[in-house]
Amino acid sequence: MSEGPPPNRSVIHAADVTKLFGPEAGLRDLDLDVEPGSILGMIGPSGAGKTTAVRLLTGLLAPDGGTLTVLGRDPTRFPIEVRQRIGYLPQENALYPTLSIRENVSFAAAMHGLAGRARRRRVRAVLEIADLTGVAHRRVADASGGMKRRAGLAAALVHEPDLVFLDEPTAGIDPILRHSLWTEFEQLRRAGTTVVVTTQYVGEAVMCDELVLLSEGAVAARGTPEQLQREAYGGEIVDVRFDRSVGRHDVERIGERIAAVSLRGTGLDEVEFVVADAATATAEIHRAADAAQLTIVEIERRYPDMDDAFVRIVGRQRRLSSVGT
Amino acid sequence: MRRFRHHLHRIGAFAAKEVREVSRQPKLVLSLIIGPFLILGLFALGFHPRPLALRTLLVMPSDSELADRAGDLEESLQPFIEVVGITQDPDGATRRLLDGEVDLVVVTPPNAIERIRNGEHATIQVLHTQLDPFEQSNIAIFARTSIDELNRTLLAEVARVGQGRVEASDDVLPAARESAEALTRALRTGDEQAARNAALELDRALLLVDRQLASSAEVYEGLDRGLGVDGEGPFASFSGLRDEVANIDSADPDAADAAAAVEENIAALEVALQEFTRIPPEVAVQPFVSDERLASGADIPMTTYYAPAVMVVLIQHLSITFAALSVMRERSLGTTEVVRVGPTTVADLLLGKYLGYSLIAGVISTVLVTGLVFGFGVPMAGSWSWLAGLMAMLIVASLAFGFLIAAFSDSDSQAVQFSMLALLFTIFFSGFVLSLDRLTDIVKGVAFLVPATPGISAVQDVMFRGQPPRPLVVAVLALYALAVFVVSTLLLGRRFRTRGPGMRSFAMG
Repeated sequence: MSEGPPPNRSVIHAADVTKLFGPEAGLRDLDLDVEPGSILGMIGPSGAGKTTAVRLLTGLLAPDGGTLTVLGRDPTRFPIEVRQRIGYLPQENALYPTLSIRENVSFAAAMHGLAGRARRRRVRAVLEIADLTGVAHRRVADASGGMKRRAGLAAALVHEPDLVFLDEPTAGIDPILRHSLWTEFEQLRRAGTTVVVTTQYVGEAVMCDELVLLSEGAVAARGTPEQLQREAYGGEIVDVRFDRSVGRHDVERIGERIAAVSLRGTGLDEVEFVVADAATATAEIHRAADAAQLTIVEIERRYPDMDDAFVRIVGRQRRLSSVGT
Repeated sequence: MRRFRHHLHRIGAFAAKEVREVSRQPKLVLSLIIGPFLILGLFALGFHPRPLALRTLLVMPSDSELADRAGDLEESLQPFIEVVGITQDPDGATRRLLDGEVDLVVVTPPNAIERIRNGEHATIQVLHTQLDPFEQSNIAIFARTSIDELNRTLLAEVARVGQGRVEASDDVLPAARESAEALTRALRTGDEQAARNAALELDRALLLVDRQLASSAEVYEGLDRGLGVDGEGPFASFSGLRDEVANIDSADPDAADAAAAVEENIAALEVALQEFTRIPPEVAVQPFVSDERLASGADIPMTTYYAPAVMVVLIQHLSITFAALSVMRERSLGTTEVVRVGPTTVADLLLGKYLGYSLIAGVISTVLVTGLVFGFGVPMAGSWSWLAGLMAMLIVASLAFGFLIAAFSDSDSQAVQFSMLALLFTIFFSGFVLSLDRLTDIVKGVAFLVPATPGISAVQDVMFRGQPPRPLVVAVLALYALAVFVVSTLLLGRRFRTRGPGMRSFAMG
């Protein structure tokens, strides 16, 4: 592990970071550069290596190889000053069940050196943010799953960290609460906090600034949500509906004229074109349709479902892996 | 300074958290405080300071001389033994013993007197069915004590016979003394005829004394010798009196003085034998008895004796369990992982837990000691401040031991097992049940692996003997607390640190 300043202003810099627990399990060749005040999403199925990545980034695990700095320091040698700037929500609710929600959050504040009026003020504020003020007196043992998750989040944020790691914060909670949590993450980003979040819910990926798609302990893809969508399909998608049924020959001719990456009939009168640039392709499609004496009833760029994108990328990754082996 | 203040906040937060968590479990708190009193109360109510009298069947063969003395034998066996019957059938008695109808069978020997006269012991056989070595020892002690009592009864009878003879012959010695007086008087006046008559009378009287009182006088002489009285007693000089009387020559100018000396010897023997008759036979055969008591003057019955040891063992066990399980619980809740990512150090965590659990165990100790002394009447002969200091050291050392267990444990159940092993070790080796003096030096050294070993001894010194604990014991306890604290902090610190592949840590479990 190398010490010293990171190569750029990244909050997190990882290059070829590897941590193996055996020939199969672990994480290989993780590369990351996370800008301050952004949300990094780590997406992948169970066992993909998300929690291992978070543990490496928080210093709970030491990497077997590669270069890793977080807030400019080797995570395994974080000084107390750096630890004060980090918030962490583990995958399981790490709360004391016999204490109330307020007491748990207050305890977390005390762990970061907050005391007296400052502690009470921060606890009150963070409970408000997590929408827990009304139930703050409730013992964690008597709280619902959602309350526990929000209490854990409040405990992770009570000391106003610069960098917060959230390991599957939305796992097992209802969609409404998930949405409200993501709203909170966005507020954190706006306040300048860097958020690293892992999730199994691919749909949440669009809310991240950057995504790392993990599969079987390796990075399957990395980039913004749009970049990953493009990568999944090989370009941008334009859906076209004609006024009548179209023949295969006409469709292929249009495809050739607009240099489509791929095309697919999705109905008698509907066609999906994958193109390099949807904006310029739209006009080209109109011209090609006119030439083919076809009338376009509807044309629109479609943002593909992240689930689909995820399945395509992971499927491709697995095929490549099986070919490699 | 700011960093130091933050450490204090963290330590305080951990302490407050531990106190809150325990206080939120009222059943736990009640069981910790009321439980020991219930156990001690039940023990005090149900424990027989003296064992229950054993139901005993006496087997007395028809040719046993003791058959005539069954009453004496029965009396001598009490209060340890309750004779429920006398039989001549040893096999039948053994069957009843094996069937559990009786606890003991005491078989008296046939032809006991003949054996004794032949210079052999007459053995009284005691049969029982006890497997417990402690109870076997008790039976052996009962048997020895009872047989001693029987022997004393017989010897007392001998002494009583001797005294009876003295009393029955109360006119013999005065008659001899009067004859000696008459002889002296006759010699002083020069009345030779009267002197001869008085000498003859005196010789006859002395012969009678010798026949009737010799054995009693010997018992008295033996008692004197046994007690270590220096010089010859009155009987020793008495045995030569007849010769002295025979050698008195009336022509000798010192003859009257010799006769007066004989008179004095007889008077001395008379006084001695009167003394002998005044000694109760039971005292004569058992001149010495013991009176054992604590130098501090405290009265320590069995139930009281165990009270401080129970308290020490309980405080040790709950401190060990609290400490070990609290660390394991942090681990199972996942809070250790959060703590490791944050600025908390292992020393903050442990010091916080020390503080919290010391407060809890301190409150429980205070309630227990107060209840024992003022509720159960357990003596408190020494200084309260010494006791408080000892309990504080015991608590800190026990908590350190608990953290050490946590450092070696991989799961809650393993920590519980280690804690129970420590308790078992404490019961056998701390002096709780068996005195440390019964252990070999090596094992005694090993016994000090648990803090209760020096703790019990020191607390008993303070409470029962009224003495400050021995400096060595205090030093051992203090060093123990310090050493185990350092070791457990280092070991837990190692487990807190980031680990490479294949190494255990709290994060990886």
